Amino acid sequence: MSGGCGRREGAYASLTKRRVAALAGLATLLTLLTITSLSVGTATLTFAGAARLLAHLILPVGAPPIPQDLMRIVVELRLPRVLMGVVTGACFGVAGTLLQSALRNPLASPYTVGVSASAAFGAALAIILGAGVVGWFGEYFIYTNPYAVVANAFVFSMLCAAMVSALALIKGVTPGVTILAGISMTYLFSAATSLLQYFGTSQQIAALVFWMFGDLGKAGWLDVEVTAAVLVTCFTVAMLMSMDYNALMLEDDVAHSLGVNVKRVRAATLAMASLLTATPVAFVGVIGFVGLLAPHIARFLVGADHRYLIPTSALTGATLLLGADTLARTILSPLILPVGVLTAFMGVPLFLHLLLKRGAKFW
Amino acid sequence: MVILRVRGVTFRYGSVEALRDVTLEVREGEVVSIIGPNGAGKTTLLKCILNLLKPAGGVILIEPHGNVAKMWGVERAKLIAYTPQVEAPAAPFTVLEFVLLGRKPYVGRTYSREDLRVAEEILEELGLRDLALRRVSELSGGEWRKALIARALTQKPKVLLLDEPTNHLDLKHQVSVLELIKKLSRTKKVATLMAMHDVNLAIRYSDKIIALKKGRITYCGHPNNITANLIKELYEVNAEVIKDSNGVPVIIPKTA
Ligand SMILES: Nc1ncnc2c1ncn2[C@@H]1O[C@H](COP(=O)(O)OP(=O)(O)OP(=O)(O)O)[C@@H](O)[C@H]1O
Ligand SMILES: [Mg+2]
Repeated sequence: MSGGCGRREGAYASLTKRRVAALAGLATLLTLLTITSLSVGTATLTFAGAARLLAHLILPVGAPPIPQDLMRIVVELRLPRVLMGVVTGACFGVAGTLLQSALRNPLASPYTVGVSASAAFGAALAIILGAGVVGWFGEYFIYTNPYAVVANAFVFSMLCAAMVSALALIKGVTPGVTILAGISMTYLFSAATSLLQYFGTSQQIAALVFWMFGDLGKAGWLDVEVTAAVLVTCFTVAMLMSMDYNALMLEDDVAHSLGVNVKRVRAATLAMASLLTATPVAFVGVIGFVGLLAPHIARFLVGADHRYLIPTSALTGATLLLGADTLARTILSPLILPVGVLTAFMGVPLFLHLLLKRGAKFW
Repeated sequence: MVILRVRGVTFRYGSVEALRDVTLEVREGEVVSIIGPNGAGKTTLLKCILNLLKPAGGVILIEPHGNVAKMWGVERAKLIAYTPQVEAPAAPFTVLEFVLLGRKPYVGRTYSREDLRVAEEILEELGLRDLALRRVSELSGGEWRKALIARALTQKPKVLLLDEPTNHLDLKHQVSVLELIKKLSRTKKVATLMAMHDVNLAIRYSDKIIALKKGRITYCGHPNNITANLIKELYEVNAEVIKDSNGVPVIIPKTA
């Protein structure tokens, strides 16, 4: 990114061209990865077969390209998992960017506002005490209705996020205060979860630990649809507000002088990022690092203009998570590793590489 | 023609009184400097004008648009631009993008050709054209200060508020930035109010000097009328005032 001069009319156009190219490249990569991910697994399907199947599902003309029973396995088991990887990764990517920008802090991630710990607490409450926002279930209900846990995880993480977001509206509350509030919420809910575990049976604790491990295999079609709806809604709103986010990258006083209502934009953005995180977390558990890493990669690719940064983060997050999950399913096949472990194993070296390459500059 | 009118403004941080009955005017094309010791209230005054801080008393008017406190954010942003005392280059914006941020009050969801034209014209005027695609974090202190001013000018304001625009600049850049400010204030018919620490530079480049001490105005007038007494009263420093060949006063501080 060193200073080119470029012709006067050309400067902005060349900037735009580079960004569109990066977006197109990422979209292609994600498509290829999606097809690859669909084709790997115990029931064998070729890359071309998976590609034809995907085309058939999008535009159902003619006969299905693969045998009926294979098709059922892929559509009912593999496809929701793959799509959940895409939408969840995109949610985390967008949420990470929104949080880092709203808090003007490159170290923020979707979990900075306490979303993961409070979700785990909600899940623990349902699994161990059988208590939840939709009433008192008893153990039988939990095992037959996984949505009791999902609802609990979601409601508690949104409650926590709402508190932290609302704080940003108070006079004199800086982004730093918001981050510290989020961190203290994380401690509070972790402690509460530990307390619950102390009283749980070993099966309940195992169930909870299993829940907390992020696992895309849990996802069914309904989960994919709900998460996708949240993603599309929040993404659209975020895109409409991207000019405000650009201004918010400047100091609060300066953003104010540019006519931005800093506190309101910040609080709304925190709430939106929390929703984008809490929804997939409730369905698939806590998957770390994608929300921290994706924005950095995206910023590296297209810079800080949110009109490009937000879609790039979505694609980057989706690619990272789907890539990690595909690896998690294949490297020790037939054993499937928890994807959260893979995101960290893959992500940390990449992150460090990026940071070192950039020197001391986080942004 | 008076553009900025500050009338009887009083401001308190809790119980600390930072401004007391401050009244001043800045005309179209005029450069006015506020001088005064650390903690005098210079930054506070600029922030009050910007409606970042709400004064306990008094009004701030932009002629002929009216009371700043009653304006919408976007309306105010089209009239008043601001560069803070310290601003670190945030985010990997290129200089062009950074300067385009000044178009915020005018844009919808994307920049128009007009926005680009304004930004590029101002980059050209400030000699930043060749740096348009450089990242702001890779600028020198002087270039960065100019980028800040470019962003403020891209806002097409009627009033320009600059908090210590020569902060951290070497002699050459101090002079070039102030010359730019003076020239642009004239050509763009902007009322410029800036907080200055360097009294000699303030005298040289301002049409009017306002001295602030403990939140009160102790002097308001032509720079040529600044005396050793005023400096003593303001900064508690003994000084000698001599005149240069053009009759402009030069302040030479003396040891106590
Ligand atoms: N946020 C704040 N809370 C409480 N008091 C403050 C705050 N900001 C400034 N003050 C006080 O208000 C007074 C005026 O401060 P201000 O920043 O306006 O001074 P200044 O003239 O800009 O000083 P400097 O030349 O050091 O920048 C000082 O006494 C300062 O301590
Ligand atoms: Mg100051």
